[in-house]
Amino acid sequence: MCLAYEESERLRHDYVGPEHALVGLAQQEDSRAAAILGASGLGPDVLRAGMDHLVAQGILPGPWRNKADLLQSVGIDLASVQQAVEESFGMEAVLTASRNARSRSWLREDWIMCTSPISPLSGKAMLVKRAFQLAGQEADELGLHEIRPEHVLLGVLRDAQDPVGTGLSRRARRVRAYLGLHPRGPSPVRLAIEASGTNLAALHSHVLADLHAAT
Amino acid sequence: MREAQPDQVTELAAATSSRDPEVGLAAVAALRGLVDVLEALQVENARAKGWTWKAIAERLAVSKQAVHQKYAGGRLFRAGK
Repeated sequence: MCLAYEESERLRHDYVGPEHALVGLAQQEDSRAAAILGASGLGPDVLRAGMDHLVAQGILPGPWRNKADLLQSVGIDLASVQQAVEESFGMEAVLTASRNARSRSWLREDWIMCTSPISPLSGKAMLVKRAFQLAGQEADELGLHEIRPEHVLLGVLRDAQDPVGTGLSRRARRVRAYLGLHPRGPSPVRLAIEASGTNLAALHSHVLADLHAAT
Repeated sequence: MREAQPDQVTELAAATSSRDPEVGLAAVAALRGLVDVLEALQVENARAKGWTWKAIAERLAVSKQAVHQKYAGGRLFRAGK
């Protein structure tokens, strides 16, 4: 999850989506998920290049589309604002205030505690819920009670088989539009994987077969 | 965010001038989000210091009912009293 967050940071996105999770999984050393991805020619560098390509094509939002850069465009330095309020009120109070303010809006943002220092004013929307739900189902079907990276990979791959927006509420669609994401069309994960000549469904069954062989 | 090259950012800021509604509108939304957080922070602080809703509302230039409706009832503010 932290690796996914880092990928989102690298692309200067205001959300963490399955496409970031995929790059994160490929980076996770010593994991079966990374090994399978690497063997299929989907190493971290290939996937990162794939993400950059999707940004260039306008399928993923461009790097200016994050709070800090947008505020900079109207002359506000978010980092300074954050430093000022944190000095006066303390980090905890700022985090609480952000949470309260967001809970009144339809935009849900979360903070991942793996960044340090964590920045309460710049949380990210989490768009990986469906992929993680599917990951849980995959682990259940294998009779396991814990979700390992390879299950997350299965979840991400299964999520990517459906077009963008599958099973989303109206509010979730609004969040996607706000973040500059396309409301429909094939999932970016599918595009990145197929760009390198791998079939999505085949990769999913390959991971599944590998897991069955291991248990 | 810290890793991005600063020159790349300035370049982008210049390329996407704020005359472009796409950038301008998104910037306003980001600004509104920031204002909401700062307002919540200041109201919470004022309540903790014993300010009345009326006094807070006067400073924010809104009605006291508006502030009360928006912020009262939160567990956090009650704990600060």
